[in-house]
Amino acid sequence: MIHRRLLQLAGLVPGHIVLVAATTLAVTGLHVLFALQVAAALAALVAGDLDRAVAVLPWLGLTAVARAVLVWAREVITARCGIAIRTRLRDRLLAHLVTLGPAYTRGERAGAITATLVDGVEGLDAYYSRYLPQLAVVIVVPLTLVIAVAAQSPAAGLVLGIAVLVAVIAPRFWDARLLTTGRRRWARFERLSADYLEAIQSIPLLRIFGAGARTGDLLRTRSDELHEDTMAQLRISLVESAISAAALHLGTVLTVIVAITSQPSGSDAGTYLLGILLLARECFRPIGELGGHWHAGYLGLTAVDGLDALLSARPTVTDTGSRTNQAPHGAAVAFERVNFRYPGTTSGVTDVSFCVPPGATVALIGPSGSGKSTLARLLDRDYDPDAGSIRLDGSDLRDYSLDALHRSIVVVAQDAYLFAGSVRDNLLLHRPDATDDQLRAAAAAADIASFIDTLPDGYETVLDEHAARLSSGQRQRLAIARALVAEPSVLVLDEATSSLDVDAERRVLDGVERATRGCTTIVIAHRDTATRGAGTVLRVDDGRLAPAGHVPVATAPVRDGRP
Amino acid sequence: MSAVRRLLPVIASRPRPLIETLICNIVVQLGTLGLAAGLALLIGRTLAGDPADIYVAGALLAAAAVVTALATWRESMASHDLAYGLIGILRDRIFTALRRSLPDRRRRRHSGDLTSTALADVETLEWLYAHTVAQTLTAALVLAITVTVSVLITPWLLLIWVPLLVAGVATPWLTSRVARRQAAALAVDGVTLRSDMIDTVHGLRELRAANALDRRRRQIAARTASMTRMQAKVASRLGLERGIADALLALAALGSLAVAALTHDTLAPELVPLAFTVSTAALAPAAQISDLLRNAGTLRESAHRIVEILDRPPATRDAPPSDEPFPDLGTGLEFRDVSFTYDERTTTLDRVSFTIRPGETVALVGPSGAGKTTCARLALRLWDPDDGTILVAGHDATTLPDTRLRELVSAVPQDAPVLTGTIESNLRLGAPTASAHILEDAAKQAGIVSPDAGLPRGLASDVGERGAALSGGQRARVAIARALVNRPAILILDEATAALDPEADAAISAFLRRPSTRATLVIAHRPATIAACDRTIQLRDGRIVLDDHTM
Repeated sequence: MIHRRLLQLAGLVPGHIVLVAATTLAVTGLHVLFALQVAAALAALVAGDLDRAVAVLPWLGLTAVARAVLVWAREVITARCGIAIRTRLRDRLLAHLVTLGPAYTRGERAGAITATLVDGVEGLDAYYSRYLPQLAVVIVVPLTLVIAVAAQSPAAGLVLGIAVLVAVIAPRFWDARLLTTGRRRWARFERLSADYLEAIQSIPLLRIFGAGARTGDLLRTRSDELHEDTMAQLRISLVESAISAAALHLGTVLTVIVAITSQPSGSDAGTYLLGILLLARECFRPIGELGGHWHAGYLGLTAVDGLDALLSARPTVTDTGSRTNQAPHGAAVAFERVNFRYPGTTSGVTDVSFCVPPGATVALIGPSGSGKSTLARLLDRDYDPDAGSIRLDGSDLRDYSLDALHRSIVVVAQDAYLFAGSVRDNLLLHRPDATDDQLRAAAAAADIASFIDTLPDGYETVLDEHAARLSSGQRQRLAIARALVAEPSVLVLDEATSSLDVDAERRVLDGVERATRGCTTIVIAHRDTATRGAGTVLRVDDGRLAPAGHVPVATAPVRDGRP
Repeated sequence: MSAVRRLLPVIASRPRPLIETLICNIVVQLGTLGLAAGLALLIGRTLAGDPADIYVAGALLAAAAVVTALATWRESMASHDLAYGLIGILRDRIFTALRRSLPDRRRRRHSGDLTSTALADVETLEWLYAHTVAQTLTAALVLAITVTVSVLITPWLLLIWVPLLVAGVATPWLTSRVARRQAAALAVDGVTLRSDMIDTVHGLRELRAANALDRRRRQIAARTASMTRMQAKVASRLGLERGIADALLALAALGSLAVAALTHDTLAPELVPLAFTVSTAALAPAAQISDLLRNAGTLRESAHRIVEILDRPPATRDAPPSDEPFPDLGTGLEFRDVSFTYDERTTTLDRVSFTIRPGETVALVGPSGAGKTTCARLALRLWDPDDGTILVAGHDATTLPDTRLRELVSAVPQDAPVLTGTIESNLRLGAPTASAHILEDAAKQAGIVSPDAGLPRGLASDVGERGAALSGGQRARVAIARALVNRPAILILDEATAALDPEADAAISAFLRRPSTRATLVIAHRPATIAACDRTIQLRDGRIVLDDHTM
């Protein structure tokens, strides 16, 4: 099966593929040579010509040794090719994934993307390292052999040619079909895999609600349906295996029968007949191997849709800014008539204008779902506004390179992700060169230092996935400490202390204030306890700013929008 | 092979495709062998000047070819059917084992690790079921036939191919120890890779915000480097084994020619091609058996991991069903001297006792890590306490059947996970047959259906992947409504109101104040919520330091 996207990706490892094809061709050539030598020896034996037979044997041995060595080499070269394609493809997908940004993973199912990155890439290996090189051999070898047989007996050559043609062409039709149906199966396999992941991660919840057995039943039903569906497809798809087998067996039988009946008089009958028999077999060997490689790599091939979707997705924001330095500490932030709708929805923010003067602290409050976090996402450039502009230190966010922007503005989200790794690695995320003193200072400011000290290995304690063993309050404080290590120009706390009780929240916010003196800060919260210390409190309702709270004249927001 | 052997009986649960696979496989193997032998004999006799009736021979061989082709088709279908069926069964057993044994009390396996086992290892075993069991049985039959035919031609042939057959089987057996070690190492690397990918996808926002993706890519590249080194080693070993197998096949051909040359005085010339064909065909079973042995390492590792999951002890033991009526709700929720530890090093709860009577709403407060959430998990019987008793409606929780317990106790757990689907599908989690009226009532109490909830489609609203389409407050409200659907006698709210905005929080506080017969435990941080409760219990370092009845 030739697929445009897959061929394009072959450009990642062209040298490897050619080398594998050359080695495979050499191995196949030695098979043919061996067959010819065997035919000669057998013919001599049947004819009673012992000397001629024995004379062939050393050559046979030599061919066999050379073939065995080449088979070994081919395996090693094939593995190198597979490793190269997997490593390069995965790296390329990861690089692409980051340009797509969290806006993409937000819409897609994380489980499905992971399946593409792991299983999809693994599965594609066989296509490049085995199938494509073997395809080259199939194009060259059987054709040559059919011509060789036809030179001996045109009739036998014709029969063999037809059989080979059927064996090569027929499965390709089925391959195309198999791939479409297989893709559907892959899509469902991905979904089932994502659902298993979700179900396993939610097992405590399922137990609390006594829903474990029901969820198990549901997954089993889905799995059974997948089985039924797959079998219904295979019933037709696998007819290919019957046709391939018929072409091989019937083709060989008929070729030999025709060869016997059309035996030219006066030729060496033994070499002629045995040669045709053994060459006919060699004709089908590479074709059979092609089928084998196809089936081995077929599940992976069906991952091509997930791959295609990932590679052809366009990022929601472009990285074309020319300001490559971090904005000055405590830079001003201004929203100017910002309008934004999430793609394909009506939710977003409307005509938002306000400014945060240099080094000031502004709080955004409002009910859940009012659009507060959307403002944080816009600051992070998950998305760009549909209209209006967000300025940092006087320049539009789009004028900064993403790298500079992310060094300038750090957003701590309510459900900030902590990585499977040590506490230290997590804290070093933004600034891998931060010193121990800096880590300790940040941890102390976020009121998490004493907790880290109680961990069995302190800062080296390894957290599990999403730090599931920590309480949500501990996770939030670690995430804040991580942001403090980054020393951003602008700090955005998006419900970052929502899991803390009031006392703990006060300690953390006081610590943050001391640690970030002079840093521009935006606090997003639904409760006013988190907005203490903010010079200005703005209220967001239904995607719009509404006048609210205490608004001192000195830091009055620029408001030129509708009331 | 004990793990593989333990999983093998699973195959008996699908007898029909198993037998079909076996029969078709035998037909295919014998057909292939018969065709090769027939052609060799036909050519031998033609060359020896004793030609058979070419049309009869042709018709017979052609018929055999067609039958073989048809059997190939049926076999591939039956073996797929067998494999998929068994994969489904295994996956189901794995999920069943996990849903009884998670959450892990001591050591958590990365969920990427667990799904890797549940899905990838099961796929690996497909190979065991679809391509080996029947094939190995057939290989034995083919072996018996080739021995017989060889003896009929000339016993000397056995001298050639039997040692080669033994060598063919022995090679992978000799390298199996190495193979197993390599497979184990690769499996560990594979799990790491999967976990890295899950972490990268879920943490994409953080990685991008920290400009850390290039670092992450380098890290992953460095980690996969050890994996690729191992894969190169595996390839080198496999290449050596394949090279040897190929050489043995060539030796069998060479040997049969040598035997024919040495015995040319006694061997009928027309049998020479047949002798060659049988000797090379005799090694085919060796190829199948060595394939099995060659993959034994990977297979064993996969089987071992699956058995490990199947053997996980359940987190709690379900009590036998009982129809004992509940005259009243007893003492509501009562902890009697409850002690608990996660890792046997630090005591998380130390002889904690308290009672929440029906109609009472109690706030559980204390610093992070004091053991509040552990109390909630024990009350929900995710685990049983090491010491002491938890009484639910006057009954020791360990004596209550699980279905009963889940009707009595409900919760809004920490982080309140919302599942992919609609709000309705989430509300139905614990009550699949609840009436629309009951769902709406719960939704109203949690403030989901109010006009300012921002959910125009109401209960039919899609929540996105794990609630991603909802705001934090909306997610919390869905979780609260879900807990109310079954009208539990005991309700536990763990930081449930943390993500709510003031209006919603006020609604919840009002809900908590509303008189009811329910015993409610609230793990709360906020004065408004605490004030809405009848009483406060303060926990510090796993001990109750204050149980304030006066509030």
